[in-house]
Amino acid sequence: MAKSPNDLLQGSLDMLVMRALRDESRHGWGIQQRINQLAQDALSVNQGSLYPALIRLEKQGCIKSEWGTSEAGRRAKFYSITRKGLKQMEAETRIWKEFSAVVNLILDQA
Amino acid sequence: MDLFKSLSFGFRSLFQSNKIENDLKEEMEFHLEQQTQHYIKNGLSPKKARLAALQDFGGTEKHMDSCRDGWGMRFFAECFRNYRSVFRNLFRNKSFSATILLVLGLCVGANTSIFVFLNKVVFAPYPFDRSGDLLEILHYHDKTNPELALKSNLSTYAHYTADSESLRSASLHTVGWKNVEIQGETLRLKGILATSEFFETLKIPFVEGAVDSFQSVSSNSSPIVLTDSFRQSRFPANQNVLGQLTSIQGRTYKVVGVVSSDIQLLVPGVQFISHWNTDELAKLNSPESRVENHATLWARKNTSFSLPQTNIELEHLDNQFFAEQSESYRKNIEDLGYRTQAVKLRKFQNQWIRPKLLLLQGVSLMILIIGLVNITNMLLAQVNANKRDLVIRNMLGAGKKRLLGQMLAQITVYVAIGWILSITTALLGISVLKSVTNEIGQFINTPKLAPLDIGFSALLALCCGLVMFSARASGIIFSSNSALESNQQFSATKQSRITAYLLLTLQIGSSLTLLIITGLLAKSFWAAMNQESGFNPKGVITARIELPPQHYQNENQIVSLRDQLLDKAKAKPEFSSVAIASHIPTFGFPTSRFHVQETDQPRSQSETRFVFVSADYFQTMGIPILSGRSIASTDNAFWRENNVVEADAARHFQKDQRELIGQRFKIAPNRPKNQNWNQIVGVAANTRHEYLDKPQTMPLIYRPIQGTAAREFSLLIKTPLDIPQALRELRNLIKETAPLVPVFRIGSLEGFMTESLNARKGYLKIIFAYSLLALLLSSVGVFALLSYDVSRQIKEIGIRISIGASRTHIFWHVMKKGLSAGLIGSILGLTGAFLIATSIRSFLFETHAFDLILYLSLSTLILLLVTIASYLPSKMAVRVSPLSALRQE
Repeated sequence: MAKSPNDLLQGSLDMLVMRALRDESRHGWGIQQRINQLAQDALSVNQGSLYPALIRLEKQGCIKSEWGTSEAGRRAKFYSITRKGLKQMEAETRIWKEFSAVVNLILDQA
Repeated sequence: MDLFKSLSFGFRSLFQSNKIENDLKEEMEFHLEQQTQHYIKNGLSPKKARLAALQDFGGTEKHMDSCRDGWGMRFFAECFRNYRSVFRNLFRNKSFSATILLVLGLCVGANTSIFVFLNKVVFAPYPFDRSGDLLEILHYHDKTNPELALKSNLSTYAHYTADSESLRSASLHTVGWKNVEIQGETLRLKGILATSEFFETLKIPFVEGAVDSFQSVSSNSSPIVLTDSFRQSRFPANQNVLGQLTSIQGRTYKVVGVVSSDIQLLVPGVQFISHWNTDELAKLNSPESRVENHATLWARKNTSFSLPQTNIELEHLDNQFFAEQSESYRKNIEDLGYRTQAVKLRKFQNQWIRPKLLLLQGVSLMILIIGLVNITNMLLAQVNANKRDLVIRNMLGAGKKRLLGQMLAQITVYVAIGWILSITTALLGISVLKSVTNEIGQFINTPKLAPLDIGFSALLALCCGLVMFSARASGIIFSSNSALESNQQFSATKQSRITAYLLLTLQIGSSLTLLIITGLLAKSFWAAMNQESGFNPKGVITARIELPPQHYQNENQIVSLRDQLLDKAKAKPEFSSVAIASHIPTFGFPTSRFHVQETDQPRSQSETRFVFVSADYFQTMGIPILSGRSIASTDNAFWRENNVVEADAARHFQKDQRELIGQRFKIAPNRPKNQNWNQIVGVAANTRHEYLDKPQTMPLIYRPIQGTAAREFSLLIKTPLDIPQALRELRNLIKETAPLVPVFRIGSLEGFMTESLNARKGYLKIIFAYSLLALLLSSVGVFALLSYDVSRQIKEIGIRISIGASRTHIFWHVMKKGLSAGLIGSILGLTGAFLIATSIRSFLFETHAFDLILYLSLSTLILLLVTIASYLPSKMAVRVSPLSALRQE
């Protein structure tokens, strides 16, 4: 059975979340919107699974959170990336790029 | 993962679970609202937009669950649930839980209390600064026993103190009981007479006063230091003891300090340390004293020197000293094979008690194993009893992991409570040990646990926990998932039954081993109590006195008082025989070298024990004279003294017993100007004068007390009166004759002889109590396991009976299980007992390590108990009614 790009996303969600937080702090929905925007709607992230990922990353110290007020004036939890998170993201991005280049090379030759 | 972060998440989830849940819900709701708004903006109706948002989110509860996992909330919640349920069950099954906790607390506590002594006396370094540098200087110069480590002397002390580079300081001391006058009262105290560097060498902390003050000797008084335990028992806490004047043998001492009671680790029971008068020391120093062994020499080596380097330097110093002496002196030294060896004080000191403590620790560990087997079998029975419950819980969704978590919670609670109980038991155990045997008890003043002791008990409790968990969890671990998931017979049932029977066998074996060891020790004790001591203590009373020099200054006064005492006692018609002796049997006779006069030069040297006695000593003590005569009132120790020797001395004199009379010899031949040749005038029967329960190492020579200035002696009186009345008479007699002289060690000689076996009796009591406990635990173990087995197999037994199995067959089927465990256990127990008995040979007195009759009778006893314990469950099996059994399931 052919797999959708969503299946490949599994395990890479942490990296995408950190990328979405690279420029500014966002709440959960904002992170999902930013990922969609960056992916030009080619990836649809299962929105609920974002939250366990956020807890995981916070526990690892890659992101931090604080309660704030949204654009609509509602109380919302905002996440921002930490120095450790930035380093982690850069490392994971490099590995991802190297890995995908090798896979592309193999697939192109085939 | 950042451990701190992870822990903070865990703790927050534990204590703020509601807030976290609410925050999560609020966060997700906000997300859904934003998404709904997003769809509304794109033209969907609010209702459809909400539905689409919910669909995109993918089930709030599912994600909430994942988030809870991420927070670790589920783990903590489960732990909480498990522990709550454990405590509920603990109170529900009170007797079951109480039995486990009691056995665990008692067994771990008993082990810990023994370990406290083992740690304090043998393992832990002395609590003094750099105690690893402390040495004892030993000498070897006994020709007849070259491996005999002898104490040191003043000559060596003076030489090493002056010239050794490897020794930083050295101190000479002797230990003895003295009459000490404190606050107008005369007390009999155990003290150390030590040179001024004693505390500087040991570096024992002072509780009051300063170490330097022990070195400041004035013309009026010498310094004395009290031990903290003695100070506390004698003086009120608020009373200043420094500067108090005391008197020992007419000499005035001033209290200059109070030293930590840790000194009792080196000299058990010591109460004071007095300064050794330098004038007395100078008198003892002579080249001849180099081969004497009258005092103990302790030293602190320089840290830069290793022990072998120190020994090399000491050997060099010895050689240097001998090179300066005469040729005959050197020849004598060469003949004796003289050598010096410094040994680590920690390794040498108190080593005599090490095997005894290790034996007690081994026995306690066996009790722990036996107790643990009972606990394990109880837990295995609980697993089997709860089999159905486990299956139901498994069907309701509890996986192996969760079931194991529940069991782990149960075991940790048992172990934690059991451990706390064991600490209390250990403290109680220390007090019991102190009261049962002074030999061990004297090392610890107040029952307390050091960190290592607490660690040891925690380790034991943890090991017990591991065994208990393995037994409890074996039913889960060894069962396949399918077995758990299906409501089929647990495969673990059979495994746990096999484990239970194996453990039972081990338990029976350990109990038998313990029983045999107890039997061997009891037999040794009995042999020591009932042996032929060579003298007859029945109807003999004794009292010891030491004449204070301030009241009895010269020899004439001493002799006059001794004669007065003897005359007055003899005048009493109720005293049938009266004598005086410098020492009484088993309380330690002094030793000396002697050599036999054959040629001008000593042919051989050997050690002997000697005692000064008055005429009638042999008659009072009931010691037969085998040949020659006894000591007469005309015999005098001043010149050419006439002596009586024990029959055993013939071996040491290398003569036939009949040839001993008239033999001449010299005691303390190395003393300068010792020209006094002694002559043997009689041979007495051998006596147990050293120990009642050990072979004698040296012969005893009886010397006349007449002509000596012995100011400390024992009166011995044979009387037909009852002991309390006779003692009253004796006390009055001494009070009339010498009102200022304190009396001590007063009582019946029989009582003192029994007292000398007190240490052996104490160990026997402890091990006997342990073996009784082992027997009880094993019998209960056999009975409980078989009863449980029968109750579990009632259906099977019912079917067997209904298809024609005879009741005799059923009876023997159950009995066979108990008896086979008993037989295999007995073989294990016999092997274990033999192995242990051979390693404790030194404790046995006139008892063979493999006493066949004892081994067989105790094996029979344990098999008998196993048979009785198996009989009742077998009878229960026979009474099973097939109909009611089949109806049961």
